[in-house]
Amino acid sequence: MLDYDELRKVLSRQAILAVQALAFPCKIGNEAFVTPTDGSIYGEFWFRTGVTVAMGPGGAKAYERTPGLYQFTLYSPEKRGEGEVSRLAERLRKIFNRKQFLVPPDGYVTLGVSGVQDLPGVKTGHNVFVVDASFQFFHHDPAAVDFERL
Amino acid sequence: MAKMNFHSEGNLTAAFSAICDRAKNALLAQQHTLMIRLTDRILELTPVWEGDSIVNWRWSPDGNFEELDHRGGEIPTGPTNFMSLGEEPRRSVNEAVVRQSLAQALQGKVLHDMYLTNASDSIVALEYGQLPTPATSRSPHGIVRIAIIEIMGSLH
Repeated sequence: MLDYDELRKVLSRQAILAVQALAFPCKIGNEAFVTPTDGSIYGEFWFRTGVTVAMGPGGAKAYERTPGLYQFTLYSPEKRGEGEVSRLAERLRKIFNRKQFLVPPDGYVTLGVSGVQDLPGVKTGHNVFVVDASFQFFHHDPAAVDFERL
Repeated sequence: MAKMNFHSEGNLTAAFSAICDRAKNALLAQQHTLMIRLTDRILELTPVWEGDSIVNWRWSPDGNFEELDHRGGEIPTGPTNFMSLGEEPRRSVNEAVVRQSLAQALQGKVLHDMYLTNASDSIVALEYGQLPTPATSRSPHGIVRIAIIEIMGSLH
């Protein structure tokens, strides 16, 4: 199994479920997306992983840890008020805050404390809200070969 | 710390003082390594246009700074939207200011908290991938957040 691809599936699935539950248009990762032009609130979800480190001594089968970030960026057109977008941001936060998801085959991802921030001074014609947190992805490859026969 | 031990034949005060010094030096070395690695990673990830965002990274014991103007105003910014991070003409002259601040911070011999700050107007929007526009951002996926969890996560 491919660890990082499984992580991508897990986080994307959670994002899609959240977006469906809250019913707003959202670009998930690098998927095709048409930005709404009718003045509705829309969002963007991405995650990234950082440098992987070994969690201790051991061969290729041993557990490793990869830190990462996820972020929902919410765009609310100007003059639409802030209540709607901040409520949406907080609902997203509650869905992701300090959650832990299993990642096949036997890894897991632990999300840190999620926060809601509005970004002042961004001149894109929108009020921009961000919901984000860091995470730690613990994974190992049970099928890895520790020692190659020469 | 668990690897440290000491032996005394009478002068317990001197022996204890020596091991305290060794512990302090080990912590200082650890703190300095973290500061160097964090600075390197953050500079790598910070995009440069005029240089205002990158020149304002500053290490200090109190974190109290006003926004600085960029350096190298005579150097053309170039088409930075089409460049990779690291190629920008004004990067090195502005990075030099930050590295100078790091070098000064590393000279401290006393253990205390150190703060990394950035007083630039643009740094928050850059961090969240909003500049120059969300579609053309060259740092769409964070600068400081990922650097911190990478560096702190690499500690054992």
